[in-house]
Amino acid sequence: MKRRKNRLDEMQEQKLLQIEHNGCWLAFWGLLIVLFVQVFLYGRDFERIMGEWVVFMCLAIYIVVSCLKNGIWDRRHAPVPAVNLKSSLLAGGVSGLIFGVVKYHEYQVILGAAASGVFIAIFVFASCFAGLSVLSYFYRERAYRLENAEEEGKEDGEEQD
Amino acid sequence: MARNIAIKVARAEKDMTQKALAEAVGVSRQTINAIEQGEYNPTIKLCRAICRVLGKSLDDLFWKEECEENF
Repeated sequence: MKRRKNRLDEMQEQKLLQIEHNGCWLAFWGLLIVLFVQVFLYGRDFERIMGEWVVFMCLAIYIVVSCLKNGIWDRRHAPVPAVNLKSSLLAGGVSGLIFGVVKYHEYQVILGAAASGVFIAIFVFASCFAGLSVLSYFYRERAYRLENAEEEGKEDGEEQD
Repeated sequence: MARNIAIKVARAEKDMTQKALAEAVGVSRQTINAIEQGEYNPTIKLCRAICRVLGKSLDDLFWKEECEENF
């Protein structure tokens, strides 16, 4: 099927991309918050959150794969172990804290809640650090290939408008 | 980004409104306005189209003597 002609000019196109970009991140963080609330506050089992989880994972996998394919990591952070470690510690800390507070609210046992929180924090930290390390390895490989690819196209002076 | 007075002057010399210039280069009036206000950095393709319509060179309309912008 023939695609309709783009009715936007270049500035409008950039603005639309910016709006879509904001919408994408709104959906991403919104879904993550909804999943957290449903699991931790309402104690819903996996079957009841499967729809949101599938959409969230599709979105996350699409972003990660597209970025790696294009040799893009992040605007501000470098793919180095120190940054990966800090990010993983943050993710682990926040997850452990939320889980610990929810468990304390549920059972009113501070020691059990703390142990659960620490366990979850360690698990999330280890998973994030391992995931980030593997992804940053793939990123470096891909970026090296893209940066060192042979120049394509015709010789100078042969290009046409 | 600094305002682009050169385009406004060149447009006035040709007695063209923003709308007329926008139609001539195939963009919206708000895009021409944003370029003149320094709110939008056009692609080289659009710069060339504007120069062609206004009968000016890229240097005349888009070159700044002082290095004002951070790339």
